[in-house]
Amino acid sequence: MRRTPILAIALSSLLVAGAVLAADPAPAQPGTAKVGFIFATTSAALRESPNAGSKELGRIPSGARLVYRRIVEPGPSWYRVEPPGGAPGWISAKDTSDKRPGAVASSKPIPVEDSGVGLAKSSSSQTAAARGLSKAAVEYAADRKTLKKSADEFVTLEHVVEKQFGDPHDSEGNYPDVDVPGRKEHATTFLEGVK
Amino acid sequence: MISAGFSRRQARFARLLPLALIRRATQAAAAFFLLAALPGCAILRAAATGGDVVAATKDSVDARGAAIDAITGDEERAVGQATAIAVIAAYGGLVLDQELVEYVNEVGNAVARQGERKVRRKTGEARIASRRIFVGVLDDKRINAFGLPGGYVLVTRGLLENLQSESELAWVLGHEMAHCDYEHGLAALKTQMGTGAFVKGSTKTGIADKAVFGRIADWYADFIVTRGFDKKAEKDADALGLEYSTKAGYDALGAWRVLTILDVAEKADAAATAKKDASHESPVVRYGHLRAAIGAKKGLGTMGAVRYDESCLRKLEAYSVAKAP
Repeated sequence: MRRTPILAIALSSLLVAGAVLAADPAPAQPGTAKVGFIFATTSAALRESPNAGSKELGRIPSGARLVYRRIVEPGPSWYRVEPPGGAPGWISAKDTSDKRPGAVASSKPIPVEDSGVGLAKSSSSQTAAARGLSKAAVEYAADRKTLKKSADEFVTLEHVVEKQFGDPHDSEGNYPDVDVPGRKEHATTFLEGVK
Repeated sequence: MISAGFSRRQARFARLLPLALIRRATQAAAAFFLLAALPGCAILRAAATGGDVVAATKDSVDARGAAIDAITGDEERAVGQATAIAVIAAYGGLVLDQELVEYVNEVGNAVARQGERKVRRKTGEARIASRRIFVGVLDDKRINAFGLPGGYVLVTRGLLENLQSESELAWVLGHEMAHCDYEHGLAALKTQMGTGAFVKGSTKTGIADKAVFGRIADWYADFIVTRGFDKKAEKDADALGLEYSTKAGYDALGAWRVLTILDVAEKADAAATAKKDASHESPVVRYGHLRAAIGAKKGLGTMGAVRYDESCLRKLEAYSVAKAP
């Protein structure tokens, strides 16, 4: 009995997933499965069934990203969608777009660092080690010319994570073989923010 | 046989439902199972040739730990770093957005902190004490994720764009960290080392030798991208990933939602379908392994949906706009 709600959810979701094949949404080619996402372009009604007269389950804020798994044809005129963190329902296609409305959030690109791979051999290993790349990985990347860009991006990523968790490497490019206690505290603080 | 019908428990539950709903659910489930029986894209995919990887059961952990004891923590990380660089090159580079990188690493760290290294010495201490996770986002539309030695985890933007909540991301990252904790990669590597393939023509045989290391990293990058771990390793990582994510407080149904996404994606991926792999367990079978553990938790699997949208999805959109010519 304890598992009944889970099975109910699982079965109803199976129904939704299976219906993807059955309904075959219009944007997809015949015979292909289609699951995707759309955005509400206005404060739109989420309805119990795909018609304007059905019960309104709630309002979806403009800009909300909605995962759809089923579309009523012909059309598509109605999408069965899952709003963020909410129960599924139906939204009229006229209230949606494949692009999020409004201003796009700003991106903060991380400047890519030079890993040291590809520098003169005398300084390459030293530079890369100082940036967190082990000697063996430096030599591996240096011997394969196409990996220079990837090596640069990799050390850039490592530096961001190091700064985030206060977790520096040593002068040889290695990390001490210990668990870092500060990371546990970091995790606790972060998890308090999830809803 | 998979599509033959419901389990006894499902059948009992089905008796509680109106007839019309049973009919609809049966039709839908049949379609779902048919879809799921097909092989699919490479996400967390099992390997055709990975049967020789030592299973990561409790009983075998000590034996395997002893077998790979020669690989040090520094060497493990070096293999992870070199392999990550090769995978990054094969998958279009990294998405380097400050807030996105920090967010996926926060989730990864929060989940990874719930676990521990599973491979231990006979004295009981962890073979390698270091336990870190570095999460990178590959700028690739394909749906995939990789857990590399040393805690280097790479997920594609294609996967992130198809998720809807932090619960789903938490299970994916927990699964990949589980591969690291079980040292599945090192076990596969050790097996391959036993064939002598890496030392052929070398006067030195250790992993510290430059030529040997290069062959190891090349082999491992190819292994993880084109084959991956065996069914047993994936099953163990699924379960441990679920343990990590739920211990962190995330909804267990996040795992189920990811498997549903993979299932539909597999169907849509004609190229992957062409690479039918008999040893590949479908997402539905994998869900079957997890069903009891998932059933012990309740929820919609969408925990953290708002934060995921703000911190991940919107950042990916912004990155795409900034990158566009």
